[in-house]
Amino acid sequence: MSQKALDYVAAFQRGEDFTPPATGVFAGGQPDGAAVDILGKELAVGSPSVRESIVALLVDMGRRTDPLTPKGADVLRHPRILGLLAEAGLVKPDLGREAAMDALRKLATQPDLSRFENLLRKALEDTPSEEAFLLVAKAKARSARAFVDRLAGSAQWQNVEAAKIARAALGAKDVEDAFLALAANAEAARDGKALGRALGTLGLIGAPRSLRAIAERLRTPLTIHMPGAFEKSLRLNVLEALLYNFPDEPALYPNNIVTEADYTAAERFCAKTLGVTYRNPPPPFLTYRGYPIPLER
Amino acid sequence: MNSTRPALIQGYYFFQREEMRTHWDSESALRYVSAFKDDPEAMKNLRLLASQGSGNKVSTFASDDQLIERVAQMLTSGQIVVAIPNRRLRRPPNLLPDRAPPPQQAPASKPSEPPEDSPTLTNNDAAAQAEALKAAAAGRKAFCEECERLKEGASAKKQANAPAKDTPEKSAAPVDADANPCPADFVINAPCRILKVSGGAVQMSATELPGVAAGTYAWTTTSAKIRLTNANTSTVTVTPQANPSASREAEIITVTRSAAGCPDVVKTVNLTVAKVTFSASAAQRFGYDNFDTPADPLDDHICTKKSDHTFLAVVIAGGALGTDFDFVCDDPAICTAVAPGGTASFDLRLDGGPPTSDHTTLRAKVKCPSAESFAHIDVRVYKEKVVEVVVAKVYDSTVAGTTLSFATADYASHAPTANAKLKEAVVKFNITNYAAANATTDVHYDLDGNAALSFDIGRDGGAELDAIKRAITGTGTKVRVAMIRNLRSFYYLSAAAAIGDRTITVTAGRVFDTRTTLILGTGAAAENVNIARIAGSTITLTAALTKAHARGVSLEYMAGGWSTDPILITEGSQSLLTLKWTVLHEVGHRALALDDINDQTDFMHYNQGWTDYRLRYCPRSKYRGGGTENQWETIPR
Repeated sequence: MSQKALDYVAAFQRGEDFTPPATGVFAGGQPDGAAVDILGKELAVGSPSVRESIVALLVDMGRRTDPLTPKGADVLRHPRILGLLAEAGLVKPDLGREAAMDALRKLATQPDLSRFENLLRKALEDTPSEEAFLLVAKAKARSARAFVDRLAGSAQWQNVEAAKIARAALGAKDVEDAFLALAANAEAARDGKALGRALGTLGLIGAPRSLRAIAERLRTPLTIHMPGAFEKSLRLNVLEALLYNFPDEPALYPNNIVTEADYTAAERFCAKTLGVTYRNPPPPFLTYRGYPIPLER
Repeated sequence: MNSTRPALIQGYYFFQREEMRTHWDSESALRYVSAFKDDPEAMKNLRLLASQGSGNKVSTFASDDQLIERVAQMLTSGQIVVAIPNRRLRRPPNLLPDRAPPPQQAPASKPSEPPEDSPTLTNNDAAAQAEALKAAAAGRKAFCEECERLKEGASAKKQANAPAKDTPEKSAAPVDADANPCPADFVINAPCRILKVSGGAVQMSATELPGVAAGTYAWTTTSAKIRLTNANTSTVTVTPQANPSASREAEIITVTRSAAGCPDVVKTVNLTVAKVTFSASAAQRFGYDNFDTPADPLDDHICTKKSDHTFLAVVIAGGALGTDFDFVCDDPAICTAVAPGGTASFDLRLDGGPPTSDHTTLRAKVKCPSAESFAHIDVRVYKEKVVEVVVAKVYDSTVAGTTLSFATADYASHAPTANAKLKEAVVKFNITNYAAANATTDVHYDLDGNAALSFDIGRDGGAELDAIKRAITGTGTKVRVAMIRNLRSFYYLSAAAAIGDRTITVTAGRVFDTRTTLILGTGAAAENVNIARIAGSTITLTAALTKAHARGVSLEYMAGGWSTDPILITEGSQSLLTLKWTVLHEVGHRALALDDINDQTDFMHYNQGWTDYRLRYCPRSKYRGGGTENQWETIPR
């Protein structure tokens, strides 16, 4: 019995939101099993807002205790928490499901997600949503391909980008080609913002060709410039698109880039994992070029 | 039977009005005439009647069936009428004959040729008829089912049109639906009795009961809330004016039916002129933007989080109620409204659908066939943008001057306050303090020992900022903010400058313009300079140099922080509250892609001159580069 977990549930039932960091629900540096049990039970039956808060709490517990977190990764790999999110988290089409899907999609690795392929496919089949399409795409749930193709062709979904992304992720080469062309066109036009968006979409697809197309641009000199605010190297967008697919790889996290050597470490990962080679010299080192914040405020 | 006979006066039969039946449908006419088939005498008279009416010989009708069909057609067309002593139908069933006697003489259109007796209505099955009348007498069934059906139809329509009250028509005489040349009633068709202020005109019509000759109608009202046109026809146009009713059904239209030889029949129709207004609810959970036109709610926008809900204030003036309206979104996949109760002022719950970013229109549609929209508002549904922020309070224990003024400040505790504002754009900041137990973080960053972080502008920070970058580890994808005590920002001369020079060049690729004075050099060799113009790395000064400066000399630029990674914010002389909001503003640039704007009442005002921190849908003018920004729509989801 975890009193703290019960307290959390009671607070959520009173309408309070979860505010990180989670406290009192750990044992031995890991999520407390008794607490996870209590939270999991309530997750299955709670109201939408309670379920949403429980998802946030479980995710925080899992992230905080992952061995890769101190190395700068932001990943959710705790098996029981992943299982709860994929099972109890997806039982109802509500805020809780949206939160569970969002966390699974952004924080879990593809191999971990593939273990829940049937649950993810069923969630999409039961209540299609953009989030469900993207989650199936991230999981590369091949068994969902026929359904995705059929649904994505329906009037309701044919113009929704998430549906196209799912199709591309599950093997629709023509759809993936169209997204690859967007990136190529943006690059040719030296449009940093457009290329950033295109790379983000390719990241959501995460198929081998898309991943290579992202990684090949790790030495892009393009930037995204917001006058008065910052100028951001598009190399960071490349990393963000990659780490969505490899959240357990600390070298891909922009916050870990301090010098050019850190970019080089990311390139090594891309060369090894995706077979990308880099021949052009890297651009001058940049992460964010800041603007001055006024002295008198 | 005598009581049903018409009065015979000087050779003319006089009938009671209700004893004439002039309207037949083909089915009832055929059934009625067929009742005489077994009566040879009746059939003979019908043959005579039919041949007279059509000009044909009796023999034209080869069979009784053909004759019956022909007479039924004559009834249906109105060529002949039947005098029916209607009162008989209302007598107790035990007074009815076992079988309706057929008329001994066919009725004719002239009073000089009246029937001697009248048949009962519509049915030759006396037993069944008797049963029906018994049932009617017992209250289980209508005496005149056709009339009842008409009444029921009107009642059902009335209920749909004015759900809160079911007796809008006040008849001057009880309705008697049977055929009658001087009716005591007529039918008013008012498709909707709740009208929208300054809304579309509504047509209402008056029609006669079945079998009644057309009269004329006059529609009048003393109400200033409605205007009538074509008021002397059977169809009047009612145009609601600009003000709502003082109360429900306060607007009265009097309808007078006139016909020569008949007394006027007067009825009234009660209408409600209503106004529905949407506005921000005190219980709203996300955003509401009045588009800076508080007097015009129709350009307002409301937003909610996907799969979540918010509340919208609804005020209905004029006496109408929430139950008089359907609150519906044009696209129910984007939002749905929970049906309200029967009050005139309430919070409408609005449930957001699953789209990540989409919009539709919510309308208050009156529960009438027209489903006219009395109010509408644009509804935006967004996926909540959750931004993870980590704030590190950094000092250098090797340099006393770097000790923070607000060492115990809890920046994470500002999240609820911030989120109460950020929710306007469906944004949430999860702010955490970097160090456990909200401690300060000791980083040996003050490499030059000047009790400040020396920021090399040309190198986007340089070694002292890099020291902090390396120290703030394990932050995942969070937006990092470093609070420091003091900051000194420098350009460096890329070439020596002589006395009298008006231009200098610096190592940075670009120079940020500023109206504040810069310090060129250090110590006794320093002098103050001001920027007149900037071209790349070349600065034109407002006055000639008074001292010579070697290559590499510093040009100090005054800044309160830098929007680098981590975002660097110096305490300086700011209040803690100002610092907390500065953190959020800078994260707004980084994570929400929002520009600096000119609106002082906005969270993203370029100099944080805030009085209100809302993020807006209504486009705000940008501080730099011109143009405007719709903040809700700009935020990436």
